[in-house]
Amino acid sequence: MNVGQAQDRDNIIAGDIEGLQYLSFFLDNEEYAIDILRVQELRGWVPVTRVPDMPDYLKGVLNLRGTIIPVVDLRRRFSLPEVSYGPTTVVIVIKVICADIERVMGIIVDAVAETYIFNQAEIQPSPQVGGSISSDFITGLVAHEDRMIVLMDIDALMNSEEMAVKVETHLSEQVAEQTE
Amino acid sequence: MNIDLSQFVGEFLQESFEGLDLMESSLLTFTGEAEVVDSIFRVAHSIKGGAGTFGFSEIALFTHGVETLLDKMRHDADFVSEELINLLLEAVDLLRSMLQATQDDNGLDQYLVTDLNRKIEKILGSEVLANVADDDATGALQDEDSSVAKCLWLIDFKPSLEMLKSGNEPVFIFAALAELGVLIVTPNVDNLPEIKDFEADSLYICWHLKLQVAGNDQQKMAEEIQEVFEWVEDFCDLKITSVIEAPTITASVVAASEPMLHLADANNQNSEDSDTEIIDKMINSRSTIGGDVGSVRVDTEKLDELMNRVGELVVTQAMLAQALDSQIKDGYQNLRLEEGLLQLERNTRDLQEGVMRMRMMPISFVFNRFRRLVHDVSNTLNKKVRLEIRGAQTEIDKTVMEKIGDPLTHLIRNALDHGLESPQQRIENGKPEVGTIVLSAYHQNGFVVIDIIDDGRGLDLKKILKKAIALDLISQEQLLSDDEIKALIFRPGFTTADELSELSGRGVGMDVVMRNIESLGGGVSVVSEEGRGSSFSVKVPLTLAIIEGQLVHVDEDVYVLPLVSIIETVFIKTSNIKTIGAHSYFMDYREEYLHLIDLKKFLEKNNDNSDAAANDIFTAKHESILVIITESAGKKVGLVIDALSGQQQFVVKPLETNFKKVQGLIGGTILGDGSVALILDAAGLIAREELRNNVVPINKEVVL
Repeated sequence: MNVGQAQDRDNIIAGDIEGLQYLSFFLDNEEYAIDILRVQELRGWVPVTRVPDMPDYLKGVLNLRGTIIPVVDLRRRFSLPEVSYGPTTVVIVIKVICADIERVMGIIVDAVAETYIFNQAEIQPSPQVGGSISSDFITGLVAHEDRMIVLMDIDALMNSEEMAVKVETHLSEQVAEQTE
Repeated sequence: MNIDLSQFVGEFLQESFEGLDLMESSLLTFTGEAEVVDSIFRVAHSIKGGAGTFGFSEIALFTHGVETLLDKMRHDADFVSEELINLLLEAVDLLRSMLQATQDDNGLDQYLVTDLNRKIEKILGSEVLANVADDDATGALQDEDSSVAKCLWLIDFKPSLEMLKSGNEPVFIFAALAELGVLIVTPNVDNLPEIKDFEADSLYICWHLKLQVAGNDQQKMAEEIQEVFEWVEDFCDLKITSVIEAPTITASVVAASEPMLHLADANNQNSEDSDTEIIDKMINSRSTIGGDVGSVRVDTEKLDELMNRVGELVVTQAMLAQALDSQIKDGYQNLRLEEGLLQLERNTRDLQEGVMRMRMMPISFVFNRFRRLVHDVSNTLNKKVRLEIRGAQTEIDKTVMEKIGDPLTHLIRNALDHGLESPQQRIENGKPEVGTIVLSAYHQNGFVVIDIIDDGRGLDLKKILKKAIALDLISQEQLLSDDEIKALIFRPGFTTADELSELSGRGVGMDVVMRNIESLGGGVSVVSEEGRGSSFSVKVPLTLAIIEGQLVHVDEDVYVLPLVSIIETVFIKTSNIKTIGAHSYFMDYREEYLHLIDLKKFLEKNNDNSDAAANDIFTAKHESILVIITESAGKKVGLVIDALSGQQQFVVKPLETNFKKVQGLIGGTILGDGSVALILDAAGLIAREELRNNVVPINKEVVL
């Protein structure tokens, strides 16, 4: 049995079994998890630079070793009650893929919890949730030791309208439009 | 011969494209100098050689025809004519598309090739008719080009050991053969002795040559080839055979262009190794032909990466300096550390400058493009134009250079189309028949200024004014200064052309030029005198990677404002602020009313309570406020700020790498303490404010 379990894990690592490793974090006492391969690093909270014209959940930008990355407060994103940032407040630096372009972003969460391996069979389809967390952002639910863990689709969440890079209208096109 | 040549194809294409650019610019400036013909010839020759090696026989054959023309040009100064130059330019275009087709793996337009070949024949042919006592080469080549049949000559050349002693050099023989067609040289080094038995003046190698020529006069060709070997007949075994309908040349060893390399490698016993080296040398020697001796080709990506690292280093260094400063304030002293940091600062600055310089290229890369433009456009317009280029060696960042090409093209077209008069008009006005356009580049205070000066009719202020009123850009009653009238041409939708011409006046004009240049952090200005000509000055930063900026404080936020957009900073009394409507504030600045933009408001979103907070500033609570007067596209606004701190250079980091572009911001930068400061964009701020206040710019409704 033990041997079997170890074998399972090896297979998962080798990619033989359909299973993925997840990193979970807490947000208002609920546990959420994201694909661990998307996690680049974890950082403590440091004040960020505010950017004008942004929705309130977009806290601003920070310097990640020379590149500027945006930081999103997930509590605010999901309209959860605000808390002041404390010593356990963590910025998870993640890689988001949008139209084949990889971008690096930070998400602010209450605390990082654990890593798990879930295989397909364990994952229940996402329910139709109304409310602040749209089911579009949820890939599934997992029951784990009496707790419910919500698997989050990071690409869908971060590429939602407000965050997505707007297609730049080139100046000449604007002018062309104006003059037509 | 199992070397994979494909890896060199990219290199060959790259070199060839550059060679063609050189050829084009040389042709356009050509006034009969022998060296110029030589350099053009060399380019054609190395393209031919390379194409032969890589098996692009169509390119090789076509280039061969071009080479013939050039050879004729080299020997006969009278042969040079406007027609010939135009033909050669067409050939450059065709070669470029042939190479492009090779690169993209597309088919070639055979019609174009045949058509141009026919033209080349014609120009050579007419020459032959006119001058019967022509030299042999031309006669022979005329035969070649007029025939469709290809002929392959196989030559076994086994020189005796004594041949070198007789003063004959195989290299020259091969060079002479290469003149006749596409030559492929394969050396046979089987007879090489052991190194101890090696005598320097003996020739141990024999060669197998393949010569591909287009020609139907076999007899004559055989004679030609025979003639090449005339002097060495007694010192060698020679066998010449011909095969008609030659197969496509397969890439075997090396092209005729570098036959001497075989000798250089004669000592190499292993034929396969020597082949690789030959190719290496061939590529090296080709880049020397290009003229850039001792240069290295580096990916721009690698440079950008290096630039980023250096940027990081600068930040780290600044961080250390700050840490030390605060320690010194606490009474801590460490002279060695201080000294070391000072040195580090110097070194980082040098390193940064060095990396910046690596990205710089002479502006001639853009300028040379315009010779062709002026040549073509003046032909279309039937105008006579002389283009004078000054300061072509002025260096500018590659990214800036890529972006100024289009605006400059626009300005030059305008100068040709609207600026310069027709030859008759010029003569009537007592001007020389040939118009002059001067393109001049120079450095000025960390900027590159490019002047486009024409000696044409100048801006017609009355016409501009009339047109502007007709287009509803201004009202009839408005009184404008001359400068203001000139500024009208940068308004969207403005055009003076009565009819839309092919070249300019499509409705999108100077405003696009202005905006494109401004998006680079530069500006355009114009000086003009009616009847004497106009001068457009385009000012762009040396680089986009670094800007000179002013640190500006608004509440607890720090912003960077590019120095280029700052006119001055003034304190104004709040009592002097005028209001129009609810939230529009104006200040009196040198008899001009300027719109005030509160940067605090800039950060707020468009919700209701922000207005109340924003109004605060303009009430009597503050006696006076600090205002930075900025300018963009001739529009001035006042930015209300809290405080100013240092001026310095900032490394610009785009926000869109990981996020998105934000209107009103150029990007971000990393300050000494590692935090991010946003860089403000004056043009964007103004546009944004206009939108927010629903101030419809008067020109927005222009319908053409």
